[in-house]
Amino acid sequence: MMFENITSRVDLTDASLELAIMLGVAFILGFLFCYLRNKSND
Amino acid sequence: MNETSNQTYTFGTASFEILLLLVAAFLVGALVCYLLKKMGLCCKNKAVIPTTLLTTEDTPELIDPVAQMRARINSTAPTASYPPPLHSQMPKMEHETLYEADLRSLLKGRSSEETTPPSNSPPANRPTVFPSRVSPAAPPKATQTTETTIAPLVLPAEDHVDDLKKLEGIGPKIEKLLNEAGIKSYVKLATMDRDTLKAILDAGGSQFKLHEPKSWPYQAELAAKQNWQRLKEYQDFLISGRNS
Repeated sequence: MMFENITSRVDLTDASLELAIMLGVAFILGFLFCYLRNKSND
Repeated sequence: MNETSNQTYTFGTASFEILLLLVAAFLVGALVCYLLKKMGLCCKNKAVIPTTLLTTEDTPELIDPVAQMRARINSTAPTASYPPPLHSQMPKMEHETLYEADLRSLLKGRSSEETTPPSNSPPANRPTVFPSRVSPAAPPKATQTTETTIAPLVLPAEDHVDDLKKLEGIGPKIEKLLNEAGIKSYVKLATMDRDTLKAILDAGGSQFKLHEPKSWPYQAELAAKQNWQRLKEYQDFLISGRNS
């Protein structure tokens, strides 16, 4: 239901918060990926 | 973007672009981490204080124990080679003399074994002589001389199996891996070097790559001599060094 609400939303400006959160999470995941990879190589 | 286009341009239709944004954010995160690592701000191991900066005023908990030992070695023997030998990485100075005594007693034991006349038909549990440690110029029957010679390292029989799990850092899986590599006894493990053990671990799979076998030969040497008290002290040193 929530996914439906998001995908059917017309005004994308309201989605800026969700988008920012998703981008932030992706950024953190990318950072952690690199960090843990370097840790395991040491 | 005008109102009419907004009616068709929904979040669902923008999913591909959002996906691209997410991938881009992921890559930016990885790139930031990479750059921080290049700048030395993250992903580095615990920093070792340079020995030249160590002073007596430094509190012990701030100093890496291995760095402490290196500083002591450098202070007593400025021309010592770097990295120092593994056996020098002892917790305290008073232990060094004890370990030196251990090594001397080990050599003494070997010398006494060497002076005993060899028998032609050794029993089944008699250790066999490790060939690489035998001096080629050594006579078959050594006469008693005053000069100290390094005796050959004695290996146990092939079927002799020790509990390698008693050594710090070795669990059941690593013990199985070492046994498959032919390392079943303490004496055999004591003859191995760090690089060979590391190669065995690397060949065993990625789950063993994080293990550091540097201390295993010396632990095995102590265990082979059944010097459990000294082994316990050394293991405590290893554990405290890891946790600090």
